[in-house]
Amino acid sequence: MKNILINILKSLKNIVRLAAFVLVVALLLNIWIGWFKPKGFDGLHSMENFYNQPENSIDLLCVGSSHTFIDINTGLMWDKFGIPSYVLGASLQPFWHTYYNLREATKTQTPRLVVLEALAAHLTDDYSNRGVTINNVYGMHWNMNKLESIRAGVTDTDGLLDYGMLFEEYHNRYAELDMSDVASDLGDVVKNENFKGFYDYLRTEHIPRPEFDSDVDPIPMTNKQEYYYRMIIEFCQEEDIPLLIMVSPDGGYDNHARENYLYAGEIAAEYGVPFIDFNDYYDEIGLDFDEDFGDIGHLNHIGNRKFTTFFGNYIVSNFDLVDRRGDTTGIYDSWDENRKYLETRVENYLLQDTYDISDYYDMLFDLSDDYEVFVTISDITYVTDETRAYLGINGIPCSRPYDERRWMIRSGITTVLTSDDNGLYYEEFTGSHHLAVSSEGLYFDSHKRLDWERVGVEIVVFDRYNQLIADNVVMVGDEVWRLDF
Amino acid sequence: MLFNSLQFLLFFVVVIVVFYVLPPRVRVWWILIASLFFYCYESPEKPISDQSKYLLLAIAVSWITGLIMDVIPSEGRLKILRTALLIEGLVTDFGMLCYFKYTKFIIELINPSIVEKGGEAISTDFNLLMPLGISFFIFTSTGYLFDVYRGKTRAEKNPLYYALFTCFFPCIMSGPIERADHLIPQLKKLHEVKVISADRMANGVSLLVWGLFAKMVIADRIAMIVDNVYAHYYLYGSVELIFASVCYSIQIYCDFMSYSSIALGCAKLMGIDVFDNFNAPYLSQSVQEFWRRWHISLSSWLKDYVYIPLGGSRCSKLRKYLNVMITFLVSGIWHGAGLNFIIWGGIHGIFQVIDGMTSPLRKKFNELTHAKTDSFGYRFGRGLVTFICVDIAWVYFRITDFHLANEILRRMISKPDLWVLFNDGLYTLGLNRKEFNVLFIALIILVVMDIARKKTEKSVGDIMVAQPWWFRWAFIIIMLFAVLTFGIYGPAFDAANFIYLQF
Repeated sequence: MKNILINILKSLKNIVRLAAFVLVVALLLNIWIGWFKPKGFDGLHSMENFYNQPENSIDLLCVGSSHTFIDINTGLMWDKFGIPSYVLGASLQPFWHTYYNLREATKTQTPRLVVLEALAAHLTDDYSNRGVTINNVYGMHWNMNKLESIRAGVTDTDGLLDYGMLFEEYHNRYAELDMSDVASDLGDVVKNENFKGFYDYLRTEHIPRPEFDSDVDPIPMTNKQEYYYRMIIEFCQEEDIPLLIMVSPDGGYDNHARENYLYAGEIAAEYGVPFIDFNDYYDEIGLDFDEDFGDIGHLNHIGNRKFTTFFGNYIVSNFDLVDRRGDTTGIYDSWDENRKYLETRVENYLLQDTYDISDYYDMLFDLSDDYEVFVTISDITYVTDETRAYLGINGIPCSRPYDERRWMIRSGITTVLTSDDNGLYYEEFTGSHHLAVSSEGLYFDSHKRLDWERVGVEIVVFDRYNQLIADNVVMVGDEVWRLDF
Repeated sequence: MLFNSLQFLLFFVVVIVVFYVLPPRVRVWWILIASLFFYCYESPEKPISDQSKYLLLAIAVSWITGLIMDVIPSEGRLKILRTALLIEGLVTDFGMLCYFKYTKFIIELINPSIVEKGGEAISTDFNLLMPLGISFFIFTSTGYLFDVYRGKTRAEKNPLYYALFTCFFPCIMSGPIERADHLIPQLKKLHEVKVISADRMANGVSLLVWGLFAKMVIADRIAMIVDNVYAHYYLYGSVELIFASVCYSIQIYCDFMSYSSIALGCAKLMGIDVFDNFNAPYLSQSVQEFWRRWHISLSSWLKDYVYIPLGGSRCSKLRKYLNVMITFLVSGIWHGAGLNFIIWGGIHGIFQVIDGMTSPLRKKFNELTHAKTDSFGYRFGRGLVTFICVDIAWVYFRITDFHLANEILRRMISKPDLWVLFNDGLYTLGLNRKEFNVLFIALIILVVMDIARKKTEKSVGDIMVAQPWWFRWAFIIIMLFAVLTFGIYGPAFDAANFIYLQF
């Protein structure tokens, strides 16, 4: 009897040990996955942050390819129309991934309108390649939708296993790991609920206006795309969610694409679902093909604003959407933040893209309260009268030679910075970030160090909202020299 | 199903969970089913692969032959029948092996003579799909026949135990080559294996993660250097080529050792001890010792069934050297149908013959010079010379073209470029600086582990079991996460298949 008791106790001890070991490994694995999982705005962040959205807060849900997350500006949609919108899109998203994304999304949200962007009607592959699978699947929580989404995209069991376990992609990242992977949220908007799936395309490419015939014959999409296309329509109808299917303005649009989209439109009509191809409305939208595209397929920060305005007017006129801007419950606050985030990104880009000294000063002194500007003058030999005038108006005298001096401009107020015994001029801790200005340079966290060039007027612009250095320039004569930052 | 694949991971988890859930008496049948599935399953469309029939044939022939042999007296007039049965078993087994492995090679060898005599060359334009692991399961079953013939072991009457002995899934693809008197008694006691044994679990899991680490972090990473340099050998000088040859020595060791380690770990988790195939071979003091530490199950098989039957060392010196040469040529031939393997085996034989012949001279020299043979320096020197010998032989193993291997060795001597060591040139051979750092740390761990293994003469699993619980945990967790983080997956994964699977 005693022996049996001892054996039971021994077994229990072993079970507890084993359980503890498994628990430790599971905990470490969880941390490891957080560090190593692929991160990116293309599909991954949008699905991950979707789970952070307040329940039933999204009125307009846009699903589809990169055209959705690059063309439909969620910040502007809120700012102009008061529509809380979210984009669940990823590059070249086939309808099977869209379908499972939609199923997943409607677990926590009841949109007043779902917009399906129909690029997939023109895709010819019946299986997702590695990149497409990663972008469309990795952001989703583990559940049947995720498994089914993977299964729909791969050709065999091996593929299902490879993508299912996912770690092949994870481990490849060890060489590129940085602080942002390790710290869960460094104030980066794309990692919290303020991110709404949209990302401005901050570049401009001049493209020719697409030429196509309006009266081509419809040509069927692939059987697999059609199957899931119909599944999406039927799902929305079963769930009683209004659906709009649309084709986004596309510089690569041609007769072949139109043939497939017309077919998609016919199917939509079969179900009584509205379908609109915005490539028929270039002039109405006001698109300028020299200025409004980031590349052949996608609108840039100028084009998406034009398109979103037109698109917003269209859906407000045709669907039952409510202006939520006056809402006091607080659940829509994150759309305000999203607008701000998007505006600052564009503002930073425009600043970084400016090389004319007058334009630069105009922008610099017109920055919002979310910026801090650090000005260092160490040598006025090359300072022009124009610079003197701009700086003088803003409380920075540079009329005579003097020792190296520094100022900080914030909310329109200029402050002279003085150093302590250690040569430290300014220090600021914001959340998990650390900003310091010393006699040697400007330091941002441990990894960013901008040494003073000690030539002319040196300017560092710090974006407090996004917690990043927005620009670093030296004004020499009438030129803007942009430095690494 | 590769040991380092997700499919195998899932397969093994299912096998081990069911193993412990099932009533103890049924376990052995479950392992047999799992082993047959492991070997025979090809795809949902083709559940049983073509190669399966050869395994089943080898099992059937050896089992029946063994049974009949066992009832025939080993003395008297009927002994000849016993011998005939042994020959029948060996012919069937080796016939199958030769057919798949050496047909093309033999045709290619005799074709020039046929053409020279005006005949028409025999076509080699056919594809013989060699059953995986054939060299291993054939050696397992022929070893059994020898043992039964010699009366070392009794024939196994139960065909299921015998089948499991031959096709035990951890060993079937790449060994270790098991012996009937070692494995079958353990299979018969599977029902006695305790469900939860912390030591056994730690032992098995340590072996598993160590094997995965050696394969995926070291072997597959270092393979990138080897493949690149050997593919473009004409671009490189002495330092790079020597470096690549050392890398290959490490690659093949980690590759094969890892497979054995995983096999040991899998078996251990089921309460079965299989032979440990490696024990710090590159820390050997002689080529002879190297072979006592490298692919131990094959070396001992060759010793027991080739070298000793030939007369072993209990004969004249000349005969002994001949026996050594024959044994190592057989070893070379076993590894593959190619002259390079025969040359590789021959080189190892020659090294041992030279070692034996010069042994008295070296002893004399040491006495005259009062060499401190127990000192670290002396032992280090011997170890280094042994490693160089083995390393040179590996060049012939890796490069199938004999002339090309000679050319590479010639370039190792004739193209000095020491500056490569100092101008970051080594970082251009296939691994960048970050990858090199990972490799360097992994190699330090490998060396430390090998030193510990040589000192203790224990397996990695046994070493870990002797450590405090926190050390074992740390070891397993570090190895596990090292594999997850630094293991080579993706495109390189297929290219760096287990080298010994081809044998």
